[in-house]
Amino acid sequence: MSALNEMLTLFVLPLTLDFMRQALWMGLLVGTVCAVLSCLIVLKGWSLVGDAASHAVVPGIVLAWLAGIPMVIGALVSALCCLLGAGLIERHCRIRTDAVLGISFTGFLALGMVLVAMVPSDVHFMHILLGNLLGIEASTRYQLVVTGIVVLGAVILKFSDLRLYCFDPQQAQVVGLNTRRLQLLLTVLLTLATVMALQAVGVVLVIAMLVTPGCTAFLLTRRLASMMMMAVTSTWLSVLSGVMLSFHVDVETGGVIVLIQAFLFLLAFLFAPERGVIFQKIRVWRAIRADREAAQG
Amino acid sequence: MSDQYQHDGPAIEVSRTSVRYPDGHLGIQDISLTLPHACVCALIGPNGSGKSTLCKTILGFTRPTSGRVQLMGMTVRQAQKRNLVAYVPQAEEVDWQFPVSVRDVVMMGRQGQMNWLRIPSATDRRHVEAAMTRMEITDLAHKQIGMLSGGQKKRVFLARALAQGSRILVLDEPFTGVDAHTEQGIMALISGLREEGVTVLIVTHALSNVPQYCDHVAMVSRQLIAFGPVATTFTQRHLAATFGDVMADTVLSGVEADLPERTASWSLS
Repeated sequence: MSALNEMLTLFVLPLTLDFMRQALWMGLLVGTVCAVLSCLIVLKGWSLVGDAASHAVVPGIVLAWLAGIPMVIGALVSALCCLLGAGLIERHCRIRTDAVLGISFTGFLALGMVLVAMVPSDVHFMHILLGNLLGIEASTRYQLVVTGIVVLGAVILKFSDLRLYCFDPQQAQVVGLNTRRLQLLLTVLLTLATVMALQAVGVVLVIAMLVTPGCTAFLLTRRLASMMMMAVTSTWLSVLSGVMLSFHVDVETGGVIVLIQAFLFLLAFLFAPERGVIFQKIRVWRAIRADREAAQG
Repeated sequence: MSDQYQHDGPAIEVSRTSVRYPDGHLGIQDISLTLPHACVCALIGPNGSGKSTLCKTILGFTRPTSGRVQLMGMTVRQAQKRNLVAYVPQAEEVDWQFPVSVRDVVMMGRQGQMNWLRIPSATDRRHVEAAMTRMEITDLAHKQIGMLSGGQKKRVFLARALAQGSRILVLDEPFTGVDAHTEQGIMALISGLREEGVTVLIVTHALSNVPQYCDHVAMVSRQLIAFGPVATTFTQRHLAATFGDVMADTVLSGVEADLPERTASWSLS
């Protein structure tokens, strides 16, 4: 058997297994949603908001499970309470946003952990904390697909308004848009993406899914639409290789995905044609040399 | 500009408006001023005098604690929904790294008038092209905004305001960081807009050329120190009351140096 054939087998073998195919599809779906949202989050400077949302969903998920309602709804309500509550507190006192968010989301996470300990349950909730792309239940899968379609649809339909809101909220207000509604929309979309990412990588690593692809793509393009495409591409690469590696090497899928995303960011940081550090240095060096030559000659 | 909305009263009417921030800090106190249609008014005052607070209140970014602001006889929000107000922000307030092109930004002036899906109509495109031509940035249309020079950046946001076709235009420090050529261009544009019936309010630090392009001036230091036509209001006494004596002398001597032919129109004691 040739080397090429061996490579192909390595690649195809996992896909002959049903649960691996499911994991890959779910990973690509979750990754796509997070990548698209990550561009808006990064440009708006809402990384910490994303982090807060990812921790604040925990009590909601436990309570939703107890009440027997879809996990996504519990998570959404819980995260919105945390974020809107933090916003309310911030408006009425002089503590900075990041500090208020910090108090608010750690409070919610602590509440979630207390609830997890109190509720006599199986390993179910460990999936929330660590994420497990390989073990998503059928009912959860259905929720994820619906949520993913809703989020992507909303971003596509509201692309222009969301872009204006992230770029220049004052202009959005001046031309008569409802900026409060846009803020709420972006918050809800962010929360939904967070809930999806939980399934793949768990609470601790969610923020990577919501920040890294956007940052990588930011270094590579100059238009928002292409930035989103680039973010999605880099996430697909990470998910694909993460799922494959975790099959062959037996490591945590979520961890590998995030690790590869970080690696791709590092590559972009170093080698991006215009915003990358190496080419920037070269350009500066060339300019200095040109100046010196001009001065001499 | 394009909007056909007619209103006989004043364009901007600020009535007894005060702003106090949540920390108790006073922004502006009991300011009233009325700007007629087709007028160009400079809003001047020292740093921290509340002139940008007044500007933000007129634009609806800050809510007045008391008093009210009316634009074209409507509340600020109503006027904004009808796209009667355009705003050119300070250069420092813009995220120049944001991945949008010059054309994208100019098109944002039309956003409130587009359909639900925000697909630009032929009218929207025409306004955008006309505004870019007028500001001479057509050849920059596909550039990312961070790649432009200071003057070009300014012109992009002026073009965005033009594309909107509003009746009131608020400019926040339009002359900061631009060269003399662009400065002259902006002043010519403002005069042109006045001819078209637009009311222009300019927050500015550049005092010496105020008489060159403004017909009204409002001086603010917490309260309204003076407001009225430039000829009668832009005087040593009022400038001294707003900025202090030394500053007032410097400004007026600068004005004389710049515009010898116009010094006769406002007499200095």
